Amino acid sequence: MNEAELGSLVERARALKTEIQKVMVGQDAVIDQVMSCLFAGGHALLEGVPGLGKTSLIRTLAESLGLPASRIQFTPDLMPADVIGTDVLVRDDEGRTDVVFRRGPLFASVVLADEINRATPKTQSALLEAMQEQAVTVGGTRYVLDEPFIVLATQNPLEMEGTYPLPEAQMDRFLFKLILEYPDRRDMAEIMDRTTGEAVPRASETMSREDVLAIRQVVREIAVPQEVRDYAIALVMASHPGRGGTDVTRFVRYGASPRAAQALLLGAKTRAFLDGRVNAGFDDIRTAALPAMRHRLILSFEGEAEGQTTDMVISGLLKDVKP
Amino acid sequence: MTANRSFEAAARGYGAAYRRAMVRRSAVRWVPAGAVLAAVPGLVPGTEAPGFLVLSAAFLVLAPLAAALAAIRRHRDPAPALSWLDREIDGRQEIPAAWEWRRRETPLADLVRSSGLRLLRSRGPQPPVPTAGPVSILVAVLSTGLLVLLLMAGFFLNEPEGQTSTEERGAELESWAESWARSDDGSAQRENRDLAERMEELGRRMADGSMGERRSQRALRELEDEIAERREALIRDALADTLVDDLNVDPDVAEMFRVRQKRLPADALDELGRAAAGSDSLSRMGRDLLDELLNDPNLRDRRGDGTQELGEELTETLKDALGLDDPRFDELDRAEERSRAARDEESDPEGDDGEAEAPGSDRPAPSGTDSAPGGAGEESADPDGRQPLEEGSGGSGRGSAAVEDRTEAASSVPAFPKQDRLDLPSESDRSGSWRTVIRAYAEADELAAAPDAVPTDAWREEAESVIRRDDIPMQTRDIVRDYFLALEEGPTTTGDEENINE
Repeated sequence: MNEAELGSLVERARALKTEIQKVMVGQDAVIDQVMSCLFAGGHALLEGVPGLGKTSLIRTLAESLGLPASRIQFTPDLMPADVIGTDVLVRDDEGRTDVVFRRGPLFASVVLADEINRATPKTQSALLEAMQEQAVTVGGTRYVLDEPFIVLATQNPLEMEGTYPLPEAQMDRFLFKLILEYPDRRDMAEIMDRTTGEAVPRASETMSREDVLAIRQVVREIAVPQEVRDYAIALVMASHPGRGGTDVTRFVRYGASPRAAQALLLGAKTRAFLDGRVNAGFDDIRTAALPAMRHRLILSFEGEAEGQTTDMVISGLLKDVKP
Repeated sequence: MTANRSFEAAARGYGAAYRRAMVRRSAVRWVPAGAVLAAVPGLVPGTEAPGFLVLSAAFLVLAPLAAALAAIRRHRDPAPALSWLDREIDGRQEIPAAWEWRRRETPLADLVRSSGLRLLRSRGPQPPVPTAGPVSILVAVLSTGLLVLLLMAGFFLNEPEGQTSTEERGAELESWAESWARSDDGSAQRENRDLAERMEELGRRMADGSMGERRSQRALRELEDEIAERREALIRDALADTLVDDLNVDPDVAEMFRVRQKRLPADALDELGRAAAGSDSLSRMGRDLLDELLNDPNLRDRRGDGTQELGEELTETLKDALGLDDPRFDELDRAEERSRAARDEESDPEGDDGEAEAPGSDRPAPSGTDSAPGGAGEESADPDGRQPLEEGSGGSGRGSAAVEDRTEAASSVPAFPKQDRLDLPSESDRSGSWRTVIRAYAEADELAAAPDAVPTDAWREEAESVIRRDDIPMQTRDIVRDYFLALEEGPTTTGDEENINE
């Protein structure tokens, strides 16, 4: 691959961001990180109060990619078959009956799992298994999901009653956990202008499936020097109680898993790619640290009692652990 | 591939430049440490100036050198250098990545190397390297200057106040030994010429500074030991000859005095006793003293053979009783005295305090009543030491005047009661070894009771202070100790006391 080819892919990725920003106002970091998940082959869990544009972001992404998209509204009575599909008995015109697998909404490239914490653990597990395996098995038959496949799940930090918080082991399957914050005054004004006028902006297709797959391949080739890799490992190791600083030992019950280190490197690589570089650096690791690690730390009772958050612990780690 | 070769060549070139810079910086930074190390030997009391100067110079050079060698070894791999450069020029790890990818063949490898090369050359043909920094250089210069001051201070501090330097004492010794070696006044000097020449050489080396204080002290002690051995051998030879010639002792019996014997046959001792009893060459005192020694059961073993201690007692006693005198003895006495003076014992780091003095010294003898044979008398008062070389100037150096001087000088130690004060026999002005004092006669015809009457503790302490000197043979020390032990335990010890002690 030469520089021009690489530059072309980078331009297309930037164009995708620009297209998303036509609809989404603000939330630049979240857009970047959603794109990172897309190009790294991971999935994202978006958390934010209602009305911050979670669903809009995902819908816009799907529209920009021109890929099949589906939305699953998770409710307590949602069953696994409702997500992945089921075998149904079908009678043809000649009166013969046959069992046919009817694909569920999971068979799409961009899946929006809205309010995933409202479904039962059984249904959540069905989704998360598909996320991990990139395939589903129904009635003994294995169905491979199309590439690219990205699940963008949302959950509402409010109204926790009647919800089923995702177990930590399943949270680990998400490459990033993204927090959407309230827009500032200027962004709020922009949102008002854009959404209350006559023409509501819509995203157009700017990137093909092949482009996404090509970018994914390039991202995997991004160089990560040993010292950068060591830094990512040091961050993960420092999140373990007894190995990190005093705060970690006090406030953290379980540290980040090796998947966190993988997520750090993949996040760093995609960020380097989106920045037009062919190698990842320390800054890329630092940028990826919060979304890659925040859902992989489990705070201790003392940590929760002290009002600590995983973001606070990770920020402390970033200060303590030097490249 | 071109990018690969270009980058690798540029990276290796930069690695070499970085290594050189780190070697310089390490060396500069270790100069203060070397200066501190270098100052230590100079501040140790008693360190010889030439020695610590060499050691200090070695530390000053070796510390930066070792740091430089360590830097060469540590920075052999260019990777750390490239990482340092990347951070220095605010890179995003492009250079380390390019270095690691220099041999890899991946779709992006060429781009990674090109990116690294571009950044590597972004600051011109010579990328920045670590520098020692003005502060480090200033500290190095200041510490080196401080070291020079410390060395100078150490040099002067180590020079004992009020004492002549090693070089000066060496020059004096050389001058004296030269005149000794060049003097041609008989066979005696020729026999001792080898000692004289060695002493002259030793003095010369001290004078030119090639031999430090410690080494010269050690060499001078060794020389004094040899002089003492030579003198003892001469005395034994003279005694053996005199026994045959004057006392008509059987030559075989006399021969046993020529070489130090561990055991003297009983029949030979009997023969000696008979010869002494019938000899006119011995005074009555000499005969009695000899008889006392020969009949001392403590100096005999079970078979009646004499111990080595008896042999040495006899040698000394007979030498004094027979008035053996020879210019060679005096010559060696003076040589020993000059050697001791060259050692300048006041500065002796091993703590010789000078209270106890060997034969030939003008310092106070332990008893305060007499000194060992060869007491310097007026010879010792001669500061330049040239006078004693003149034949007959001091003779044996013994005499009542000398005895009185020494008695006054040692007034601090217990002395005999007035009536027990040493009264040397008039027929011999030459008696007066310390041993003779202990066994001195109070009256002409009776043995003095003084040794048992005086506080022996003080005597023993004085004796200990003398025999602890290096130039006193170990065996002789034991003899003296045993003697005082015998004084304490011999006649006064009773069975009851022993029981109490037990």
